[in-house]
Amino acid sequence: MRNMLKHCIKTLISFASPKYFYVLASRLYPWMLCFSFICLSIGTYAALYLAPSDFQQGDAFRILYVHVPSAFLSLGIYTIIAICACLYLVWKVKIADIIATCSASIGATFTLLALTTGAIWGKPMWGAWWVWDARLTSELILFFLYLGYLCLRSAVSSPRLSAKVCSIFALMGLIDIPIIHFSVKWWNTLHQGPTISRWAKPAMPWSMLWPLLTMLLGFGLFYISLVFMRSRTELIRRERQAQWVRVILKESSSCNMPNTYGVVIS
Amino acid sequence: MFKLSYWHFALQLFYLELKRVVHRRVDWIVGWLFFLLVVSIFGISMGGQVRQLSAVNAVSIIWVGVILSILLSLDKVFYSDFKQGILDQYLSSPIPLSLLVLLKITVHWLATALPLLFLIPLLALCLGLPFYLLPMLLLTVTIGTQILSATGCLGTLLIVGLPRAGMLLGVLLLPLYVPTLLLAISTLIGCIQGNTVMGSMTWLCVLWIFTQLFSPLLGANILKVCLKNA
Repeated sequence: MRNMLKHCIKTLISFASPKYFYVLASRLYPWMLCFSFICLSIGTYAALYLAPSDFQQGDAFRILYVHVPSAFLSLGIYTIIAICACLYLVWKVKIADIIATCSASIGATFTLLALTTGAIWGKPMWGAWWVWDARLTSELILFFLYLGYLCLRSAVSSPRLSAKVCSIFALMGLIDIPIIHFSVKWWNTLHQGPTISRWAKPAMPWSMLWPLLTMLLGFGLFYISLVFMRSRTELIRRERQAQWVRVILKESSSCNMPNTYGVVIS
Repeated sequence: MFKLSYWHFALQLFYLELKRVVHRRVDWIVGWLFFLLVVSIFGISMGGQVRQLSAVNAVSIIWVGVILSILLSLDKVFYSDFKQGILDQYLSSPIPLSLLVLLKITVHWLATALPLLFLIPLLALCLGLPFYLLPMLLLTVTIGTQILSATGCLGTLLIVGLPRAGMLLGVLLLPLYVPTLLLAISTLIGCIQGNTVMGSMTWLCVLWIFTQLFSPLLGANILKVCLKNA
């Protein structure tokens, strides 16, 4: 039992090494991309045709199937960035920094998507494109934090320094979001309460819920496959001096593949 | 042998920093002037309709002015030390870096925020703020600026020495300043509407204690991490 545990941990740690991570990412990302497209198409179809319309909001509620997954991912990706920042600062895991770098712009895009769909949804429901409510404010600040993170990334030229500086900034931002959320919550909240939570029975009928869960899965897998794709390129760019990268590049150039990595092979 | 105790060192450094502030007083006076100008430009833009300004508006104008003037003053805190290599000397000395960061934060607060506290009653008068609000406003500004100073010094430490750090600093720090602003304003709104202010005031104090406790330690770590292989 203990040996098995040890073995499992060893395997997990070995995936944190750039070489194994590269192999893992290359193997997994086509499958994940495929699966996410299947989930997204089933989810979109179900969201538009199969789910019954809401008795209060009519068909307008269907934007939820894009809004909720993107809002969920925008927060989730920031948490992942913060966890990666911790891993990098404490254990100097190189992969963690690469994942954080690749995630940031994706997270910013999801945040923008959540804000936009929220505004489009809010206009007919609340009669305003924008209100300064707890969730909207914290989502907006989250967007600014993402942008600040990206600016900081591009401002620091040395890669090691930028990794450290950005990790610290990400952790400082992590404390920020819940405080904003709860401090606005006291005075004015218009936003409807959470519909899916772990602690209570969902307030949504199953026929509405399952398309949402499918969309969530699809969005999540799409994010993971994007991160894998981007981190492969980033890995090759950063580790271009390493032996295994040279081998990979030689192989890909010997079978007449175009060298798309932007790396000069010596 | 000459031995320097921490206490002695702290006093000396505090004295030195204060002397530097007095010596380069124009740098800091610009910050106070900026505060005055920002708040009065709001008043001017009302076009003589200041009487129609509600108390909530007046309070938020003053708070925005405070935040902007603190933001403007932050780039001076560590920059000259970094430029002259003094920070590197501190790094290789046995002095605890957290003490240094704490002193820097304190001196920054004394030089930027303390004078604002004297300007605020004047501006509150101009904006037509009810008199009973003034103690609460001063209290939230006193506590809030200490949070802002501490967070701001950490932010400047992160990007000290980068080109065009000034613009970047605003982008990085304003999101981090939002919680303080929100808590302070909600306290004041509670006060204006005659509700209880205990909730948000308590959280403002919690945030204050939290930043005061951890910012020197975090700052020392940032100094170590970021300057060692810069």
